[in-house]
Amino acid sequence: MSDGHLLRPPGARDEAEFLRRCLQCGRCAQLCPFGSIFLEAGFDPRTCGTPRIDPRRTPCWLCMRCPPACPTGALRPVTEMAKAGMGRAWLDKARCSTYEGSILCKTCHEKCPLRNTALIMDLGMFPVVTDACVGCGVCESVCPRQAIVTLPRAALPPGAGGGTP
Amino acid sequence: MTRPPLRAVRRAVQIGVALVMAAVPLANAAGVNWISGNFLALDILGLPLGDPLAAAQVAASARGIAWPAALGAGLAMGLALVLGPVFCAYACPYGLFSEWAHGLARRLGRVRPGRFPQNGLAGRAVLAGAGLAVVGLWGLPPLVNLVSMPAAYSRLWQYALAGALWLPLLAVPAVLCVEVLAGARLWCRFVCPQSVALALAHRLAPWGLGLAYAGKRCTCPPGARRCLAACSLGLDPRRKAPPAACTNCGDCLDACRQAGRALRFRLGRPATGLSATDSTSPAGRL
Repeated sequence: MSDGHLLRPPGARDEAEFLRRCLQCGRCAQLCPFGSIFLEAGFDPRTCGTPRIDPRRTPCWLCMRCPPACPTGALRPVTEMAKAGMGRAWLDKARCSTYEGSILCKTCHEKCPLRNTALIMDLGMFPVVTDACVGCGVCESVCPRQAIVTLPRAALPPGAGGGTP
Repeated sequence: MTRPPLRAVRRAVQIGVALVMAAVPLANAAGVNWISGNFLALDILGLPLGDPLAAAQVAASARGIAWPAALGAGLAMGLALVLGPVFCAYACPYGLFSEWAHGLARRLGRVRPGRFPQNGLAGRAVLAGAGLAVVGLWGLPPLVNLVSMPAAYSRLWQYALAGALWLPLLAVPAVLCVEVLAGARLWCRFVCPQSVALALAHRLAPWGLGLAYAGKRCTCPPGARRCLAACSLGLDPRRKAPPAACTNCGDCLDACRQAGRALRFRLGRPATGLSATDSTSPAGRL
């Protein structure tokens, strides 16, 4: 993860407010049917016990079951995928097979839960991540060249999208 | 038919709760979701239950009421208003381990009556209040949750499912070892901030379950009080008002049943002016 920021589950508020509200009950992690959410187990007293997602381990498939389960509103009770607001994916064209010209790979586009909005195919061939990306990390997890990295919303530069509510 | 000792019933409930809470993450992973969460916030068939101090920290820090958590805390407080801090005696896994550790300390001869002061709620209340104030004033995460022993037990299983060990959990056996050496349940008596709200509710409510002591019935010689020896918290139940730290566990009642039956549960407080020697219970023996 970049700059120590953690990728939070769908509906997470801004990091500071999220940390103030997260009770560390783990319900979001327990109710995730894909095992995408796990609890931070470090020694940082501010973050240990809080939920996070590591796309390289298991991405979030945007089933949207966790936000309504949060008892404190640390996760806003959103149910629409497009409002998950977790972060944003960034594509390194230098590593992407399609941009490199070696093979025509559409894996990220085919797996994106918000394909054709969050991830579009320019000229029908070249994957482009748009501001509609919510940072679920699916594209990062499936990219065979590891050309994609998902940045948490807290790590994004201003105006970079990321499904900011 | 003879009634089973309350202690046996209580122990069965304690172990049952500990097993259920250990099974929750496994059940959730298997798709069984009628119960989820941990001792900080629990959801059972849609009914929220929660730690009042945890909910208070979130409310103070976020400057707003988080309703599901607040409702869960309210239900826990309501239970404490009627039954007292029975969570500590009947549900808290750390309480169970602490009692077992105390039993070991007894066998090792480390328990010395009177080694520690009788009162402990005031110190716990100061600790909880200070923690709540710090969290609220500086807008911090609910840091006092880190010293919640029941939450630590829940987290053990939540992390284990993810294949991780949260090293601060090792503090729990360390504290238990200290309690064995000290011969007293130090954490529950003098530290645990999570139980303060429940104990205060029990202390301040004019109704609710509590102990009643009828001095005339006591048959124990002064130097061999069964009730004092039975109380793992080292409290003296022979008072007009039950000790503030009493959790209504009933161990003293079980001990007293073997003698004069001078102790019993009652609903409500003794009427003003009633002496400790002739108190009667409007509810009868429970």
